[in-house]
Amino acid sequence: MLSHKKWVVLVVILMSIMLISISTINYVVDPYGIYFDEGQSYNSKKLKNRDTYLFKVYQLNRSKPEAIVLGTSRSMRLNPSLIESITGKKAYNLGLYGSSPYIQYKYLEYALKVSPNLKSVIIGLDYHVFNKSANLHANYVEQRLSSPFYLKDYFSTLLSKQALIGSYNVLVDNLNGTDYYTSTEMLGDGTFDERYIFPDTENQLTLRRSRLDYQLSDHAFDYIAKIKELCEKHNIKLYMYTSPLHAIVLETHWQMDEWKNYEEWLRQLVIISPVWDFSGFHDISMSSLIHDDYYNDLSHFSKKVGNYILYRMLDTNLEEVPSYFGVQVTQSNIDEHITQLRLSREQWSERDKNMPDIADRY
Amino acid sequence: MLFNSIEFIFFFLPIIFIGYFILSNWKTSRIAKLWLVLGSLFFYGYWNYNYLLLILISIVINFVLGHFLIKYKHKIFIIIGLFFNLGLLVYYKYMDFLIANINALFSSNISLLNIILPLAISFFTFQQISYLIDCYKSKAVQYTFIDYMLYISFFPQLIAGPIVYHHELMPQFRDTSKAKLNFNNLALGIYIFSIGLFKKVILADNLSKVVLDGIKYIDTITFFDAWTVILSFTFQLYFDFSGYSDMAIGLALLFNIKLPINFYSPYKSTNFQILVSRWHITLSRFLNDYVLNPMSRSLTKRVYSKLPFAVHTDVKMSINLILLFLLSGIWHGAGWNFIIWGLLCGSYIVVYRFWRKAKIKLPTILAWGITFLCFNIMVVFFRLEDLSQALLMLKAMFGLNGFILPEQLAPFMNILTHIGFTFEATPLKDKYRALALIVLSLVIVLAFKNSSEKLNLFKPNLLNALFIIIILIYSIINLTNVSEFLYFNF
Repeated sequence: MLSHKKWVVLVVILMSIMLISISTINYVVDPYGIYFDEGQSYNSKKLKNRDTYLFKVYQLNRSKPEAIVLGTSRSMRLNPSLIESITGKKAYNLGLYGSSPYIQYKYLEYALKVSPNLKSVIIGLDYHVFNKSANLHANYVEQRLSSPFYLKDYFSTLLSKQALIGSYNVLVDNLNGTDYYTSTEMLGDGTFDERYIFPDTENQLTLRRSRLDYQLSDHAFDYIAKIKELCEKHNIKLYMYTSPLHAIVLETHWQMDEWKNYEEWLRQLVIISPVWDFSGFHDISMSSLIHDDYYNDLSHFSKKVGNYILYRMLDTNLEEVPSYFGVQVTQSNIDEHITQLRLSREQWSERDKNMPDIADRY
Repeated sequence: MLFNSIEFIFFFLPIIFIGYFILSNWKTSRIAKLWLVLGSLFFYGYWNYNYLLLILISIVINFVLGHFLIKYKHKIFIIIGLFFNLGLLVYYKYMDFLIANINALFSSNISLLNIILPLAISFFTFQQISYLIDCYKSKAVQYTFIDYMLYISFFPQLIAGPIVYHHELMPQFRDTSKAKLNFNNLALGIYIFSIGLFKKVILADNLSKVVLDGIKYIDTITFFDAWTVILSFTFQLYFDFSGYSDMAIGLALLFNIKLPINFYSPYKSTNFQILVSRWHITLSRFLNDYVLNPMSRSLTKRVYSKLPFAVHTDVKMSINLILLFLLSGIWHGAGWNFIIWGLLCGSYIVVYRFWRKAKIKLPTILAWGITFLCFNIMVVFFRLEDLSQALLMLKAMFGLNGFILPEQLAPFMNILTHIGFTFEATPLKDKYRALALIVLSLVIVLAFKNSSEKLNLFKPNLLNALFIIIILIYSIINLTNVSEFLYFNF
């Protein structure tokens, strides 16, 4: 039997030792990749499906870039090192899965707080996140960006059961060379690792995103306009581009009678600012998903295409970019551009066929 | 702020605790008490600072009314006090329910006020009513304003009880020896708080996942899933609320304050009257002292004695009990489901009382089974506010849409097909996990001593220290998914 005093002291000391040990293990192993940029041999591969909304905040904090890329998962194919080599500005890819213009605006505000030297913003625009009925992404946490010290992240990544199990799994996978729990899906510069292969169902899921109830959201355009205002206010050069959707996706829009919405989307965007449009039916968008290297899957173009986009917008190495790829659209040429887009469909030999059947074997 | 939150455990509690005992060393204990009051108000306002003003106004008005009642003993002050306190409660808790029913009854279109229920209003209102009544009956003395504020706002019991009487807390606040760090109480406090935290975070929160999943399929729910969901909720409710009460008792002990117990193994009861008397004990005590007894006297004097026929004492008591539990149901929430819940609770007790009169003795296991079954039927109305959903759940529980068991159980229980059971795919997720949780809960509530008993038997040995460290660490690393306490809406 101990005295009550000794019992209390014993409990408090042992408790503290255990809590500090758990936190230290989770900090060193860093299973979510938020405390260190580069991993060691025991933790280079991080947990699968980790939350980009979480760890990119901390990567951004450490990197303090002068140029950032905003957008959805498609924008994660734009290479910061290429931006850096062209512009000489330190860059980071802040693309976030399924992020709407509102979220992109909030992350830009945050980037300005932590990186006052921000000089360039490249934003990838995706038609599907301009849908009125699209909800905010479930992983988006406003408090994380608004509070100076978001305690919950530190506790959830250092002092939680999930983090501890995550650390164990990361250690086991890295030391045994297995990938049961880990992947290299996301790289330290915020881009997507093209070695990662999405499940087979990804292509069909992409097609299901085309919705019959699609309505353009004024709110989304308002936030694109706010992004532009914010950039102007801070003397930041803004580049806006539309993703080169694969021809199968474009054709699906056409067949679902969404084309008029798509055109209206482009028209409203150019009212806000000139936009580099990479969409349309051309050799890249009509390329094979299996045999060519322009797309990682039906939804996502590859980093090779990402490089073309950067070359075109930053006006360099243009000899490497196919001449048809990328048109700067303004209010003065939007009508002509839209006519060309419609006409370009004539080149698509698979038009009017059943797209879900084609998607998996194209 | 939640007791099971990072902010509370790692920041609020250590700061308040250390600050209190440092300030207690000063010449006067008033500074330390003020520190506790300010901390408690911060604790309250952390959820919604807009309601801080409400609780402060309520405290000041009741303190002033109490002062006048002690001094002048005039009935008008108690009437004002009751109107004020019950008025606040009716406005904030029941106004939208009343408007919705008026609209339904008279086909009117009065807009709902959509009032957010101020945290803990039901609890601090009851404590203050009891204080005013005691002032009127000369059972209270004049307290200092700081002591009174601390009595109402003391953070361990502010949000969800236990409902404490002024004569239980005030002498402790005034006892200067309690302002010194006491390792006996500290050990007991850590011990009971850890048990409460484990009940809430590990047991209640995991059971609540089963309940939330099951309710998604309420429209098509069948026998097995319905029972799994309701049993999970029965245990969730107990571990959630008794866990909270344990934490409150433990936290108060850190400050050398003893709070009354609120639960005493209700699920071990073999009749409904005992079950109710062991469940939310401080509420039952309040209702008995301040509602049932005065109501019985009043009804006897004004109603029963004026009837042209004699009413048997048992009948009078039965009516009083049903009225009492009807009020208890209304206190628990603004909805017809809570009214039915209260009426069922009162009816069960009345039935038990007549049963006892008939002197029919049942085997213990059967008596326990019937009591527990009745409780499970009753909690359907506690969980499901929509009455049509509650009826769907009851229909499924009684097998009115078939005695359907999940196909996974077919290899072990195929024999049941002979008595009408069928095996089909049912939508409830993680069935084995849910069943394991129910069995674990049943073992804990039936085979183990309750928290109060464990507190009384506590010995500061190494085994106990290891037990507490393990459950505390395990609870803390499971804190990240913070959920709300069920009793916060009452």
